Amino acid sequence: MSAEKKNNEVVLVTLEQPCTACLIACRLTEEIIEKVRKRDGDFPFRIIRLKHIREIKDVEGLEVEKFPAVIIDGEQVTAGTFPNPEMLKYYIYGEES
Amino acid sequence: MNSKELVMNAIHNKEVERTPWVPFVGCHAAKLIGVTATEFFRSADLIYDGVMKAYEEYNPDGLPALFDLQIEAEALGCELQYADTNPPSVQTHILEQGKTLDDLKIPTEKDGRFPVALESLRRIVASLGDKIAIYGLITGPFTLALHLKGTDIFFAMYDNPEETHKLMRFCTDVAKHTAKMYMDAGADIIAVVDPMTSQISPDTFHEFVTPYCTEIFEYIRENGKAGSFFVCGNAKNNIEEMCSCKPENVSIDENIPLDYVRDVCREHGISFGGNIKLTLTILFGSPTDNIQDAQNCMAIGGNKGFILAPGCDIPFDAPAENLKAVTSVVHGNISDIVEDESALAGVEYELPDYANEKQVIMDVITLDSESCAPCQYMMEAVRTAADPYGDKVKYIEHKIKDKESVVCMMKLGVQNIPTICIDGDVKYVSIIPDYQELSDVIGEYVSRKEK
Repeated sequence: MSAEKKNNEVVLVTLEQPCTACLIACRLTEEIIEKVRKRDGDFPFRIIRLKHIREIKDVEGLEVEKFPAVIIDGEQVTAGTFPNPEMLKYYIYGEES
Repeated sequence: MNSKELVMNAIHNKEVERTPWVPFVGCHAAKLIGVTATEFFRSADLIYDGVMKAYEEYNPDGLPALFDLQIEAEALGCELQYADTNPPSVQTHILEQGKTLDDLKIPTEKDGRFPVALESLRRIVASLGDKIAIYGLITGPFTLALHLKGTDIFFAMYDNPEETHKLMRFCTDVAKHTAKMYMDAGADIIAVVDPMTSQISPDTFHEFVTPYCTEIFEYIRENGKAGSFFVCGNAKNNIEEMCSCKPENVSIDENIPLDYVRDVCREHGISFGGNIKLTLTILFGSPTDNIQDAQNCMAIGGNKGFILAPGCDIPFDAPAENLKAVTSVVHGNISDIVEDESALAGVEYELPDYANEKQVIMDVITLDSESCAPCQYMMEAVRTAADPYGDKVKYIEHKIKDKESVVCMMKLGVQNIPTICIDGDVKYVSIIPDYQELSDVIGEYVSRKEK
């Protein structure tokens, strides 16, 4: 029997004015996510650019305030590091028989 | 010793009379002159004007000529997306689009935006080169490799290390050539900015970064200049490897504790710099927050081999008064900033009549000893020296977060914090006196009262 197939939303969180390093890391993270989308099937994906740190509390699932942060189905999976594409695939699609 | 000498001595790990301050003004310079980052990064005139404005506003000891880690990638054929309030970002990776390494040539001063970068650097050096240290920033080889190849490099390092080494070889040659162009144009210090190395382990750093960056820093030294290794992000695990590349200086952001970097760098005889918090403090904090952060950094860094700097390039919209607050700490005139910030109309504070008080009164002006390290040390020194005198001495901490304390500070004529005043006399400004000296001075005041 197959596990229930997930198709969770991926949210990439960054600052509107990040430092140079975060800017590069955010763009590369976006590319990783887009590659998974293209290769493995579409899923909802959006980017949140925070204007102020006050807005952090409004982001569901954001716990570690290091950016860029990737949140999948309301659970933070990365904080300032690049996501592994296979890990992303697992979190997004779950296990399939 | 002028500002330039201050930076050059500090970067060569010497003791200096005060901490040098190098604000990494990148796209923020565009805001200072009222233009967008999109316009700024494409114009030598605007880059020059922006840097000159930063010099005027922030009284720095050094400045980068241009903070843009995309110049080399663009000159090699990567497409950029420009933004009005951020540096540009790489959108395409040339080695993912059918090009091979053999198709690429090392950029010359005529390629991409190098003419703009070099013209502005030469003009900045001509205007400021005898006054402050000018930094030429180059993209570190690993970050450049990521720009050219994209994140597939992380797999290539394991699947095809030989090809990765070839890519790193090419990126190192680009870095050296860019450094040479900037050095010939007059830059005093070459900062090798390689933030993406914070994403790899020390072993991977050792294999794919250390040999190449060591070569770059040796090359910079051979040309008579100093090299700074600048990595933002959580690079704590790689600090030892960074030091083994033998730069003159290592510069970090707030992800890494400054005392940790200080200790590792000192073991290697290397200077270090940082690390005022970019977002929490510089962009979103108050001038007082910036004073506190700067003071904490300076307390950790000390006066030997330390350069005070933000964690990375200053955000476009960073309030100028926050950077000026840091300048005030460095130059010892915090009172101007604090008075401006406080809006003191209607706030009163009456100083005691010291001569007629039975007790010796010690007024200790601080930011807040609970959150500011130098302030905490100052209060501890006062407690330790004054407590043995019992009732004869009373000490009061005046935290300038409170407006009454600011008025007190002004009335006492205090210019910097932390400061100890004894019976209305300013005695110790930013210097923590040792126990014996302070105890003896308190004793003199007590004796005078008893006569």
